[in-house]
Amino acid sequence: MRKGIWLFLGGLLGLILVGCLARPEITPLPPSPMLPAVPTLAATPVPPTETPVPAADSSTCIACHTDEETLKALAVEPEKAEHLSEGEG
Amino acid sequence: MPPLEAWEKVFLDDQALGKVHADLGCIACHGGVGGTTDKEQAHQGIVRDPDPAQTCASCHKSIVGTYQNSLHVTLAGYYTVLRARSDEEHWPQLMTAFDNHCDNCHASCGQCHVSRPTLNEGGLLAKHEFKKLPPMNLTCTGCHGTRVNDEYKGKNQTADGQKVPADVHFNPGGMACFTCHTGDQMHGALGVFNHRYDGPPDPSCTQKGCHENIGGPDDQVEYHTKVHLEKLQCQVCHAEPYKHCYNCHVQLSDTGVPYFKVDPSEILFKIGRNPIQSPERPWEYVVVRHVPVARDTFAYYGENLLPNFDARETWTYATPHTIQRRTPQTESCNSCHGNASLFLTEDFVRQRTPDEVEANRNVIVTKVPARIP
Repeated sequence: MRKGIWLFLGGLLGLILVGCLARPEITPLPPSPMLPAVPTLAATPVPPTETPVPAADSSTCIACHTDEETLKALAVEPEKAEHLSEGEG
Repeated sequence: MPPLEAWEKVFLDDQALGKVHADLGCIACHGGVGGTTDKEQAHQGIVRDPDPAQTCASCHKSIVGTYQNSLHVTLAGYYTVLRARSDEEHWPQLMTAFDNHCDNCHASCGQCHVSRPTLNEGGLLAKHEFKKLPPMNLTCTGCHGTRVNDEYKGKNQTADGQKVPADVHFNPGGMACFTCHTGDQMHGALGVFNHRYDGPPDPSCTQKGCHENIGGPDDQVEYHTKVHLEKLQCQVCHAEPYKHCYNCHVQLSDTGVPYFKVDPSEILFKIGRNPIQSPERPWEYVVVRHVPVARDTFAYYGENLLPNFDARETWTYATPHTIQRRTPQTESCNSCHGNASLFLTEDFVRQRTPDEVEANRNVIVTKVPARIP
């Protein structure tokens, strides 16, 4: 008899625990009415590739791009773009 | 921001790169040809702004995995508003205009963390140092200058010459953009959104660590009544006047250079009805800003490219960066109650933007809250 009571209580406790662990159903919020769905490339992240491999000796790049005088001599100012816009952008 | 000469834009300090990035060398990310001092030869195949998926992702995998959700990358906000106002028939012509005038607003990893944005003609931020926190004055406000920068730093004045103070979060708060607009938001880690006001407010005034006690038992502010907090967006009481732009038109010059013309801006404060009311933004009243679109903004590219122009308001939901604890609205009850000049009324819309009354039906305030005796 006592064993039966313990079995009953154990089963009841198990049911309560299972009930507590069950996740409540989450209802997603409705979408904002003014924002129609737009197909974008957002949902398709590009899988990353392999680690960039140091492919070649960069010492000449560094040598030039850390030398102020060389850069001043070689850098070409881009042609001034036509500036036709009027007003604040 | 101060302009850079051509040589300064590419002048680097190999010590600034940091060991990990320096070990990769230049060519691994930028391409080009090593072992030569000939400029033309060295620059063959050079990539000025490396593709993050091909470079950054190898180490910063999780960030690159989500950053393509970022509105800075997708530009989904633009597509959302254009889709609402246009249709399939006119879409191809509209996209030609978009490619010429809007598409260069993209940002990549490098355009915040290494260089100034391409939109601002690029140039290394700090001799190719990788900036974990981008300097806001050279990156964020380089693009978001006209409205956000001028408002946040207090550079605006109203038509009657009154200076609008800097946002309290900037002065005296000293908060940079990324204090509120976190890396997760910038990197698209919070989800996929179609517009910057899609989803829950982020940042939110009442989020953890900010003003989270508003409306709570310790809130002593007299005006923070249940009705006010339920019906009013925080900015309705706590924003100062902010910038409105009108009548932007885009076109190409005879030599194919894209340009725009926009009417002079205006510094105003206007309360409208909430056009995107939802459980996440439940307020009935919000502040609204006129965006520069006009019915014929894209007329250069074709006739009536926005055939559904009235489907979306032009006085739009706004979150101006002109926040103060005390504003003209908080002076007394009747600063707002009975004060029609603060509200976006039909008369005001007819006077300012007469062609846009129908477009703004759902934001126009039809009944100004009554004056309190």
